[in-house]
Parts: sequence; structure tokens; C-alpha cells
Amino acid sequence: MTQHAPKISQYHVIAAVVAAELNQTLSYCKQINLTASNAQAASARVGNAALGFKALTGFIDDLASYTMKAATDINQLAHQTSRLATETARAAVALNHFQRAKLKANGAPFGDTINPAVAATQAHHSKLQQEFDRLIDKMENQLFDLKRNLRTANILASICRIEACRVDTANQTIFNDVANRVDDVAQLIRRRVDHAITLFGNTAP
Amino acid sequence: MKSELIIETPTHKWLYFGRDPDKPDKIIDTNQYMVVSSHHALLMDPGGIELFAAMLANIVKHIPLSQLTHLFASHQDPDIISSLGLWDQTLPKAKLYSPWLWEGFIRHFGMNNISYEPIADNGGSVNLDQVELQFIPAHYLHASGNFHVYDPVTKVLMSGDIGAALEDPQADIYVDDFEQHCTKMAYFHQRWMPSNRAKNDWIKRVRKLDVQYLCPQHGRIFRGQQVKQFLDWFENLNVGVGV
Repeated sequence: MTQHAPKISQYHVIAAVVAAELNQTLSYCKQINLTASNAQAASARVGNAALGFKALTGFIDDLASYTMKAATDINQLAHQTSRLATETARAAVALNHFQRAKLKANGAPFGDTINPAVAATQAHHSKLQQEFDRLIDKMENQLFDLKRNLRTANILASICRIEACRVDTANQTIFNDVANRVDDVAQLIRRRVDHAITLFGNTAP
Repeated sequence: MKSELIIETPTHKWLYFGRDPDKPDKIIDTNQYMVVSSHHALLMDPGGIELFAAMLANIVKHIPLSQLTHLFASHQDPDIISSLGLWDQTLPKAKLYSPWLWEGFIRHFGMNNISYEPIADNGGSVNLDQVELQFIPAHYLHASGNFHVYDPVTKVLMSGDIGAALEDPQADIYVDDFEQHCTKMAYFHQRWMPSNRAKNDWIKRVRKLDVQYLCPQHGRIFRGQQVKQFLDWFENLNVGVGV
């Protein structure tokens, strides 16, 4: 969890920014998908010499699909968090108003009849806060998972370059381009994820 | 906040709330009314968020909160009902009576618990124990879906923005000098009320009722002969002057 956790009111903004960052990630994933498709077509043209490379394109595809799903899931969590932050803020505002009302109603014959509403709102507020903390934890964990999995992209890119050595010089350029593309896009996604993680006030591992 | 008894019968009473000294300066002063019967109560135009704490504190000076079972919003304006999200957490089992036209709008104030009881265009009524209160159509005065509340027993008409005046927050709650009061009402009615046709339709409808107290949401309450004086004055006023 965070070292200097922001206040719930700040999470409204954080959740919105995280959602926006991950939306960008989705478009990058589509670029990886396209790169994988191009690589597959290229390896088909090259024939037997590119069999190892052809297998790699499947992994690139899988990585893109995983990243897309993770980004979509985190995005959904960000929206849920934002909604919950709104509800939590509303309950907190109500408690504040109840407090003011109780002070003003000091000595009122039926002043105590406010208490059940205060108790119910306090219970609701605590429940919302617990659920909110749970969602924030989940969102942070998923962001770290995504970041860890993105390391696979570097490995895939390196293997791509090794496989490129097995084919003729003309095709080597195509395969090296695929490797570079996977590296570049993974780097872009990693930056977005890092930014999202930073928003929670934590230092990335 | 001031709270005063307007009239009491063996079955029920009308209470006034307003002139809150703690109200922030730049928000318009509002009058709230509550009808209390033996086991229930109806709070009319409960007011904005800024007024909620004062309203709640004053209500429990008169009744236990469990007795406040009904709310009424004459229309959708923030000074009428923006406190709804807070009442929703205070009175989860209450019913809100308001024009059907505004349901989708009023719910934006936050309403997860209270039930919305839409009032049809031609009006309706609600019973608080043996007390019947009538919803009188006042469409386009000023909101396109708008109702007032009439009590045939006490002869009170809660008239929403009709009869409203832009007043000093310390002003008395009853009209004393009618002629002088007209100067505080003219601009409000000319600018906020959009339609002479709607105005005349409402006047015709209200002239058929026996009204002894005309209770607007801003300004002062009209009593007895002042009610007829107001209707005559309003009839002669050209409204919708903003264009």
C-alpha cells in the first residue's frame, strides 16, 4: 500500500487520471496486435527459416491480449473507485451537516431523534471507506502485476532479434523492426503504468 | 432560524421556518413550511444544502424526526430541493411529492432511499392522517412543472414563488403595508414569471379557493384581505419582461 496515501477527495482525480492513462494503453496494445499480425505475415513469406520467429508472434499476441485485459480491468476499477469516492464524500458531508444540526438543536425536545440517522450514516460511511480501501489496494496490485508482465516484452524482443539472425539480410530488417516495435510500445505502456502508480504516492519497485 | 406557528386546528398545524441568521450572504432567503398532523408531517420546499443543518435543528424542536414522513418540492430549483441528498440519508423511508416532469432532474441531487411520488399535471392530493392536502397546478409559474399546496381546512395556500419578494433577511414574516410590499415583489414576478397566460390561468384557479393565508417561498405571508389584493395586483402585472 502507499507510503503517503492521498485523501479520498484526491482519489476522485487520481482515479480519473489512471483511467485516462490506461485508455492510452489500450491503443498501444492495438499497435502490438498489429505488429504481431505483420510479423506473422512476414514469417509466412520467409518460410522454414522463420519457424522460430512464427512461434514468437503468438507470444507477442498473447502479451498484447493480456495487457489489454489488464488495462480494461484496472480502468473498470478506477471507475468503481471514483463512484465510491463520490458516495463516501456524500456520507462524510452528511455527517458534517448532522454534526452542525446537533449543535444547533442543543436542548431541542426531540434533538435525540437525529441520532439514528447519524448512526446509520456513520455505519454506511465506514463500510464505504473499507470498500474504498480494498479497491485502491486491488488497483495498485493490478498495476504492479501489469508492470511485471511487461518485462516479458523485452525478453520477446531479444528473442526476435536472435531469430532475425537466422534469416537472410533482407528479412532481418523486418524482424528487427518487429523487435524494436515491441520494445518501443512496451516502453510507452510502462511509462503510463509508472505514472499511474506514482499517482498513488508510492515508489515503483 | 426563525420558526413560528401560522395556524393550528384540532387535527393539524402549519409551521413556518426561515430568516436564518447563519445563512451565507449571497444565497436567497427562503421560507419553509411544515404541516404536522397527529402522526405525520409534510415539509414543503425543504430548501438548499446550505440550509439543511438549520432546518433539521429546527424541525426537532417541534416533532421527532420519525414523524417527518412526507416531503414536497414545488419544482426543481436548488433553493427548493438541493438538500435532497442529505434528507435522503436522514429520512430513508420518506416520500417526496413533486411534479412528474422533474423526476429525472431532481434525482440528480442524490436520491437512493426516499421514494419519488410524481404529481400528475392536473394535480392531486395527499392525506396526513385525516388531513387532506391538495396539489394545485401552477405550471410555468415559474417552472414548467409546478405545484402549490392548498389546505381547505386552514385555508392556507403554500404558493411557491408566487407572492415572493426580495426582502431583507431580518424582515417580518407577515405583510404589513401591502402597497409598500408591492415594490419588493414587482421585479421578481415580472422577471421570473414567464407567461401572462399561465398567470391568468392560476389566478382563475385560486380565486375559486377560499384562501386566508398565502404563503410564498420567499418574502412575507399574506393574510385575509391581502390575499385578494395580491391576486388583483398580480392580474394587472405584465410578466415575462426578460425578452
